[in-house]
Amino acid sequence: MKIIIFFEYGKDFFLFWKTAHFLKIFRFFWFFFVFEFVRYVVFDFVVVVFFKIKNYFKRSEYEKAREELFIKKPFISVISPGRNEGENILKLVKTLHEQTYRNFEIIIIDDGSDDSTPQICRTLLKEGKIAKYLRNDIRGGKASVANLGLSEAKGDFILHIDADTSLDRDAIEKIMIPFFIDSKIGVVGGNVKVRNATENLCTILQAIEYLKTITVGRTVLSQLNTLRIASGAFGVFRRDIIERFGGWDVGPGMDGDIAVKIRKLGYRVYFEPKAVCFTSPPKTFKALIKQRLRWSRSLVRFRMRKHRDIFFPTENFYFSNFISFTENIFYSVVLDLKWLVYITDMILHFPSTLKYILPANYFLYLMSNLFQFFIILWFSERKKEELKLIIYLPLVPIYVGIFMRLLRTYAYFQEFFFKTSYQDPWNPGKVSKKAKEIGI
Amino acid sequence: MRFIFITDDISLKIYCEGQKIEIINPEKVNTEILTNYEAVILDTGNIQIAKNVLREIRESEKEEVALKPVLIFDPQEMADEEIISVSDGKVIPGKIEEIIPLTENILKLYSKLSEFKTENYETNIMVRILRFLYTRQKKLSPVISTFSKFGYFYPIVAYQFQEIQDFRVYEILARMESENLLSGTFLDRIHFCNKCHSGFMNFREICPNCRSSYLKVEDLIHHFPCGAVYPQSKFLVGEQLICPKCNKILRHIGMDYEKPSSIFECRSCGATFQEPSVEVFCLYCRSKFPVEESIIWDIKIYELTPGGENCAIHGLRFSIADLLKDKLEFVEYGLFKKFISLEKERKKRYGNESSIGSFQIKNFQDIYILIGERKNELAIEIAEIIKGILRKSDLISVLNESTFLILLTETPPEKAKIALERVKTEIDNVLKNNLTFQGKEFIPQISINVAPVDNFSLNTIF
Repeated sequence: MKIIIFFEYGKDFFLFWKTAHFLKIFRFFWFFFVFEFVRYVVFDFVVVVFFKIKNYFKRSEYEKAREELFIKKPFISVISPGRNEGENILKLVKTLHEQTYRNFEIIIIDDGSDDSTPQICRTLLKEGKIAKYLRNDIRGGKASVANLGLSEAKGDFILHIDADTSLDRDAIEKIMIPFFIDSKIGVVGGNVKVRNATENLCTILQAIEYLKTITVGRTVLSQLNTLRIASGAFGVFRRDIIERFGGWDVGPGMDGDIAVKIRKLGYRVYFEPKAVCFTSPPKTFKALIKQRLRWSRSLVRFRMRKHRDIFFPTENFYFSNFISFTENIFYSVVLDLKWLVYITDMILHFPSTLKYILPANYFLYLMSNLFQFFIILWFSERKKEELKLIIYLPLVPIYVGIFMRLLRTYAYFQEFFFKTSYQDPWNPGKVSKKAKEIGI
Repeated sequence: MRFIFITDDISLKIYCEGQKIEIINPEKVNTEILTNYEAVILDTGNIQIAKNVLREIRESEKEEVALKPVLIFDPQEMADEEIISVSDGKVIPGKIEEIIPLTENILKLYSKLSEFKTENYETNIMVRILRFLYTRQKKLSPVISTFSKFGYFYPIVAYQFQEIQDFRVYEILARMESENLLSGTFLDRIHFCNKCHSGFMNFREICPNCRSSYLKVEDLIHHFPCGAVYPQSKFLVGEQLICPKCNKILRHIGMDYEKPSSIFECRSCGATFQEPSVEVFCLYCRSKFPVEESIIWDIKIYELTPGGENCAIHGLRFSIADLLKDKLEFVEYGLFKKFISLEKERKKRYGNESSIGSFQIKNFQDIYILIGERKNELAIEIAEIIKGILRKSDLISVLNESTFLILLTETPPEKAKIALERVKTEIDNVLKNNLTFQGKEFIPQISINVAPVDNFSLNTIF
């Protein structure tokens, strides 16, 4: 009986769309065609093709830069701030000692850990596997420990890496090369992927999301010179630049904040997809929600509040910064609200045809995700492993299109009206209180 | 106070009000001249000359000269640790009067020493060391020197031996500690060569197959996807790691691959192994031996015990060896060692099993306090015990006043041990019976050790 109903519905569905006029189709899916398809399918594809072609023709320049890196061998300080990350630090240090580029020191900065982290780090120090172990007995927040690491660092470049991250063997070599191609690059962010990708549904969805938004998304923005974030999980900064503004300000959203400061000084924020690192993302949806609310709030706090001067024609005005912020706010905040408008529009004006519109909408998003996924694979150095994720693609439109969108909208609302980020326990209360007082 | 200033620089003049200071060239220094002065001031402008003079003073047969206060005149800070350790302080130009109290103190303590004479070579050295430490009221610390084959060096003790690089320096100090004359504080542990006692040795990993030290060590890589396990060099293609079994690139340790252990490859014979042997190569005599056969010695900082201080003042007046020398026939130590060499040869040729044993009475100083006038009776009793148990063919030699070495010919170690245990038990009883007074029991501390004759060295026997 159920099969017959489903079959009948299928027949009606195809008949409905077969007879639908082009303008009518556009009316039903204006949101997808006007915004999402153009921005995330057509635009990404064009830029990625352009990027690949450019790389092909500039491969000798790339090789020359690589040679220059190994001739000049700049000294890098790898600083890794963290709290209660003992076991992860072991993994991280192990991968650092496997690097093809070796001229670096490792500085671990402990933000008042109360587990076995101090013992583990002191053993690593004794064994000569790290250069320094610094510790704040009283927790001061991530920015404070990162700045402590910066003050103790001796390198010409500062590689900031999260303690729960580990690197591919050639990651440091790859992330350093762009500095020898373009002297205007101030920071290079690495390609962050999910370590325990197939652990559960939560990590699987994040693994696909990271590939979409980081591997492809940041490549596109970087090529357009509108990238406004260098991942804190794995990013290298020129020391002379980072010292000009005294290191990191209070987070959350430190990565985005510091990248914007670098842009304001007129330097480029670059993304290197070949420099791969792996991180452990939240393993439960509850932890994921907490993390994403924090990330999304920082967009309002930093882009719309702290760095709003980017929109005004001051002496440090850069058109690329203006475009970057506008694109970011438009596609994150405005479109989220527009999407609600679209849904309302459909419910109010086409209540009887929703049963055809929603599945078709889902189908369009699925197809665009599939297309994007092939772009991802084109980029990937682990094609075979990442191809396995394709069977989870049908869940992505719901995860990215609905779940994440609602989460973001809620976070913007919280931060915009209640400045919730200042109550986030991610920072010690005393630090957030002070940050709120001085408005950063 | 009369000082003598030893210098080869005739332009140097030092003056101290109220004190007589005469200058002499180092070449003219001799024992007779030095006895005419209370203290010596030594110019260290030429380090080697200064060392020679210091050694001549400290090794002098005349105790009065050997223990004389020696101050160094060292305006250019040339003196090394060796000179500082055997001298008594520095003379500061313009402040020479500052050395007077120090000199007077040494001389005052020296005046407390009673006259002591013994024919025993080692006893003489022991008393000399005790007296030096007592008159200076200081600790005996080693100096680190690359010129000494031991690495650590006790100059004041070494000067008492004919050959400065004599391992007996360490043995005598250990014995003085075991006899409670000195107490030692641990400073370092050192490995000595079991042939020449040098401390300069190269500890090296060697191939268990051909004993070559030309080894290459490599990490082993385990590639998770295909299970391949090979040395890293098999994976290395340029900078990349590529699996020789499945051709995949290894990108990320912990995710694609692991390094579970390492493997050694001998570049001489090609053998591969995970646990190399460890061998010691003596840089001094060039002998090679397994690391466990090296002599492990604790280097210590020594200081006088109350008993040592007493012996410094009064001398080691009691010697079990002296007590027994008329009753037992002792073989001189040098000759004794020749007998041992002969016995070793005999064993090689005929397979005879002979043993060497040691017998030591550790608290012999307590015996000295308790024995009183009955020492002759006691000596006879002890001698009778030894004669009764040992055979005429067994040889006894005296190592020092309380330690004897016994060569038991044609006796395997287990039987030799039984014999020496009997000697120990019976002497134990004699000492207990004779030296227990007014209910206060005397407990002798006697130790014995036995080793096969071909394994003889003072380390195996103690």
